[in-house]
Amino acid sequence: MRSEPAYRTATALTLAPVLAFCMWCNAIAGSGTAWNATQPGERSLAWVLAGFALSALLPVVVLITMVRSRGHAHGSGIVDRTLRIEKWGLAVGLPLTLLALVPIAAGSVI
Amino acid sequence: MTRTWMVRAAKPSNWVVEAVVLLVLILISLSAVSGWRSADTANVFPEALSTVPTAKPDTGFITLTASSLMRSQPGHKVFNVTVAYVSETTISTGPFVVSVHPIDSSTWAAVALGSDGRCYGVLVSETTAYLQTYFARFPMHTPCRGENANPTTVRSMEYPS
Repeated sequence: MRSEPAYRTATALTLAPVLAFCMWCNAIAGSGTAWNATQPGERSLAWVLAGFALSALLPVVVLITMVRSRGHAHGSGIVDRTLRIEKWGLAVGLPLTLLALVPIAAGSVI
Repeated sequence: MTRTWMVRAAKPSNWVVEAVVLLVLILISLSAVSGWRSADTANVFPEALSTVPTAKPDTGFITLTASSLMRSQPGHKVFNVTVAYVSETTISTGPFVVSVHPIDSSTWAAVALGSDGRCYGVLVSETTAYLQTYFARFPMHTPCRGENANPTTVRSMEYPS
């Protein structure tokens, strides 16, 4: 195993909880949206599907990146691989998290 | 071939990342599922019943009938959904169908079917200086009619959960 520069390791360790937080926010916001859309008087298949999509998109991106980064072709170190997953995960996850948090933030301001 | 697989498997990058990612995904899935379940159990009480009268009409509760509530639609202002207020002999068929039972000038009751299929009741009584609200969750398969709600059957002071 090759040695990794310290800053890359530190970056990987810093971004990992950020990615986990993004996944948690999307899962809660998505499942909440889907739950609301199943309630009497507010039933909407479109919102149920949108909620599940919001919950599942980031985990799917992380899983795909994880599978694609296996093997020798994509970096040989654990930090390389982690950073690759974090890069793609956050590229998708940060905008989605902002999308999920804006309504909550707007509600708390009101 | 076997040796290559073993060498690959022995490298931390080929299993530590998978283990961590899968652990995080499992924890997040459990969090979402438990949130869904707790929301489901916490919200079975028919929302339309929460718009019970908070003040006694000048003419007494006896005039707070299904037809007068249909006209004033107190539920619509809160939920933006048209609530059907029906008489005490008519069965509630859902959380937004309220079977109203004006008992006398100082007591008023209503029932509605919760999203769990059980009948929930609320009773407002002016027995003291202020209005007291009581709640009930009727046994499964109880016909959800307003006439079943009275001071004997609706007497819990705790909001059903």
